[in-house]
Amino acid sequence: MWRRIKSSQAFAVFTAPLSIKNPVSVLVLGICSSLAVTIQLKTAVVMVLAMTVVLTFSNGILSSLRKIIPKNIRIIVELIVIASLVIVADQCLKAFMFDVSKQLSVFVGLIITNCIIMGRAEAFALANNPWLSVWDGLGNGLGYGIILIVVGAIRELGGAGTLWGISVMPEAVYDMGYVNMGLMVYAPAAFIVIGLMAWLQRTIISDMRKGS
Amino acid sequence: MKKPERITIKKVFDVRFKGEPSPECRVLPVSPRIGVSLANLPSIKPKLVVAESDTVVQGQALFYDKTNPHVYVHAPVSGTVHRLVYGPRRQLQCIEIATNSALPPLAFERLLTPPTSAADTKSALLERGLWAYWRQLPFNTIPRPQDTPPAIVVQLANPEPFHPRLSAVLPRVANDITAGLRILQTLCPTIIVVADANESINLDDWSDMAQVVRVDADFNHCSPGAAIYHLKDSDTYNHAWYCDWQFLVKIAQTFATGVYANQSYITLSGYSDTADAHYQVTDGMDLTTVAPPIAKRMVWGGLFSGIAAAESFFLPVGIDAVSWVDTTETVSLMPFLALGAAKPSFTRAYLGHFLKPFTPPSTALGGSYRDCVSCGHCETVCPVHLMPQSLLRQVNADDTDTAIRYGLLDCTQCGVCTYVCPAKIDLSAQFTATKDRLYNEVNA
Amino acid sequence: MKFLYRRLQALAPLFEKGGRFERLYPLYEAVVTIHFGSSDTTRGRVQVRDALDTKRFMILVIIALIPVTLFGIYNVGYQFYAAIGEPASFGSMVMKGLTVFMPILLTSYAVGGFWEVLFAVVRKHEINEGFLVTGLLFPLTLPPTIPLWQVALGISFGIVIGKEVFGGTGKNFLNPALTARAFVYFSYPAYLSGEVWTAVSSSASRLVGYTSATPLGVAAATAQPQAVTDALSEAGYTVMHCMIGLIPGSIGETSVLLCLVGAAILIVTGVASWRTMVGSVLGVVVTATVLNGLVSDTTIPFLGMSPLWHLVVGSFAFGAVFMATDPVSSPDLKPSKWVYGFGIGVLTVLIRVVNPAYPEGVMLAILLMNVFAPLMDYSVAEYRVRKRIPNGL
Repeated sequence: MWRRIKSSQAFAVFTAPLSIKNPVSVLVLGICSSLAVTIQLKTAVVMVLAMTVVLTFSNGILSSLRKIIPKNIRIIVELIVIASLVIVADQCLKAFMFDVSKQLSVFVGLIITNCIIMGRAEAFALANNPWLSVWDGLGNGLGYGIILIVVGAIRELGGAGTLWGISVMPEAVYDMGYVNMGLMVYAPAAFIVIGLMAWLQRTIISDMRKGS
Repeated sequence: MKKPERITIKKVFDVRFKGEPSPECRVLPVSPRIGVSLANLPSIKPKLVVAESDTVVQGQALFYDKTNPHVYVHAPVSGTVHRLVYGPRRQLQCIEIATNSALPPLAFERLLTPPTSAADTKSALLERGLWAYWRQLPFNTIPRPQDTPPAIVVQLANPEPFHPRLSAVLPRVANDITAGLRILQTLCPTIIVVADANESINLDDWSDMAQVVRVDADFNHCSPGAAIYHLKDSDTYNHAWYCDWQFLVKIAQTFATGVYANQSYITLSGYSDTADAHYQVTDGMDLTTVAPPIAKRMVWGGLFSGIAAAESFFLPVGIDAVSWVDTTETVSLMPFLALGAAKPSFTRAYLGHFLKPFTPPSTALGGSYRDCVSCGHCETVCPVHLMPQSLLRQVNADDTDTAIRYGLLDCTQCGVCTYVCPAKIDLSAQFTATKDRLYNEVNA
Repeated sequence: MKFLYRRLQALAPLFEKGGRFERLYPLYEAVVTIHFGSSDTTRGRVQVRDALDTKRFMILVIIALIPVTLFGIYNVGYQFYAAIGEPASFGSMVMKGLTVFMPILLTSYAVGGFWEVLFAVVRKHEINEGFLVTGLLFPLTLPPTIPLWQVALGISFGIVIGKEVFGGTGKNFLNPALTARAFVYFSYPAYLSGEVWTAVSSSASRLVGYTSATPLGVAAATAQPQAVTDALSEAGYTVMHCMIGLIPGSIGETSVLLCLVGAAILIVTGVASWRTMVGSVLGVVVTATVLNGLVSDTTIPFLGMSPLWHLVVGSFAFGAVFMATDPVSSPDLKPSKWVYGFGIGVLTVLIRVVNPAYPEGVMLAILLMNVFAPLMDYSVAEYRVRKRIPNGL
């Protein structure tokens, strides 16, 4: 069973964006939101959820419509689908997680302009069947998520000594003279952390390629 | 073309080396074996017309250039082809001839007055095997006989250290230079004679035959490329031809006597106090007869653009200076802390910059290879106002179009940027390599 | 000496290709060349080379830094005893200074050196002596109270993000020492906000947490209707004080006079560009004069600080002499060096006066101009190229 899953096309489509085709650290897409929402782990996770849901559904819907969308107005159609999904996600957040929604402010709304969504729709969904497209959307959402969550964790831990709002730095460390890193609260820190992750990942990928 | 009598190249480069050869000019007899070495014949693809153990006479063709089939190189002496030396990939490197002075030289028609047309002059030069001494900008290659030169630059001085000084031999060659200029006049109306402003030679005889320019600059800065750069007022002169005074002497003598002129003036330097002097020698002579190998690096040509001679000791075609450079390793503790009074330096980082000591040249690299630190020294010394550091960036990025726009083809390959670089980057070599590659692409 | 050299040479096969410690070759090369210089000979067509190499280049910067470093060590001790109000001998001041400064310096060199060696080994290139300068410059820009772990983090950031990410010395576009300082500055603003320098305090001394304001701190805090000059003299500062530098501040930056000595060494030896330095002084003078003309009753008094004061307070002198002139991160071409220097001067004053959050602006001004350096070079190069007679194929 596992072997069959592993050799399936959907599995490959799902796993590629998690590692060697990661949308953030390899393709360098969706950087703006990665900088903005990763000050805390919580906002990062919520953003990832919203993003993954929108991406999965938009990929699925657009893929099933791909044969009836006229070529010359496809961007408009894509935008309508994505915008509707984003509005739904935004309203859900406002309804059920109002605090987080306020922290995320415009960034949920701005998922519309996230390059990953349009990119996957254009590059994948319009050329593949809905089954694969859904897996591709899920994979890319989670690939984006991995980076965001790691960056969010690093920035929250470094900048405030907390994770998910819970203090994890032992008091003893502060007593020894440790101070939270103010830089982590600024957006450039996310830039630097993402840059380092991209560097690390590319080094690993190129090593893997050399090895194989 | 601008018409100044004197150009001053303001870029300073004033490092002095010990070992200037004495101005005394000695005449050396022909050596028992001579060699026609191709080390200084760029871009020539030789096709032999003689074979091993053939008998050749002075002035007889040895090989021609496959890309320029009319350009032959002739034997400087009579004798027997002793050996053909091939390098890697079976490239012809040298033709050794066992001298036999009993054989009479080939007789050409004596031309007591210069030919009347450019075509006649060209065919006379080609027939007598003198064409291979021509060079053409910007690639320093041998020009094609069918082309017309936009200008001809005659170099009266090679101001790199230790090159022959015209003043040392002027009485012997003055008339030949005049006659040579007359011959060149038939080829091209624009002839520029470039002299070193620091050398006292009377140039009045030639000033009505050609545009005489004294260049006030140091070292290689009055090369033909630099002269053209400072004199040109349009891009038509970029492909000017050039030669040195020895070529004029050669063509004048060959035309007048009908015998292939095989004498050149060279200098030896850095060998020994007694041997360092000017010499009149036969082309391709075996230097071991006057200077047996010593534990120094033997360099054909200048210190800044020379070729480290490996095994051959035959004077290559077109080389007029041979230097021996010290290779001994000096061990000193923390050399970078020294005041450096005895270190010749272009930069003010060592006391030697102010004291200007006369030190013998050495092959020491003086540091390790590093990345460019943008010190800007190369820009201060470039005689043709290039920005070598910016140019190098373009070359490294393989952006040849921008490199050309930045003046890559103006580069005279003088090697001074390489000399001053504290990161020991061989800028000149990279520019030369890129130019060579461009030349091959253009002529492919 | 020769004996030692032969012994080192005998070890060479171990580190060369195929040797047991092949990977550590950069380390071996560094040790040999530091002690005995390079024994390489020229290759290619240029048979002779200038005696100047990058080691000499960097060592001259370090020599130029020695006066400010020694003075900084003394001043740290001086400020300490001034703060606790005890008279002390010259010797004990120097000793105190050493006990404070040496750990910072050693941390900086050890951690910086570790990264430099690590990258050299992994990337298989020689260890670059540039880090010797970075490792000294960085501690000199720090206050004496800086915790050592922050020094270690700072220099790591400076070396790795400021330099090695781009490929090492020669390929970085930011000054690594300033990148390191900027990291500490934004990460731990409480330690070097620039407003207040805590004099040396330790739990053993009787006085903990003594603070005294730097001239810039005083100037920034001045409120209407007091004039800046009055506030400064009230706090006990005169231009002469700031010139000599027995005032609280970062370890190496306080003495303008010794920065000038360093500048003289750098200019005479031709290592640093006088154009950058003069340009930045001009920038400060022009901007401060313009701002002085804008002073009215409603503006902040800082606006009225005279150009002379701007030149002597803070780390402007140190930055303009040692940081701005870093050849790698400053522009290559002479005209752009003028613009670059001028820009640093202008931005320094503007950041100091106009932005209340940053009383000192030299660091940010230099980093910002570093970013623009390639653009300036490009513009100058294009301008020059346009004037050339084209030489195409």
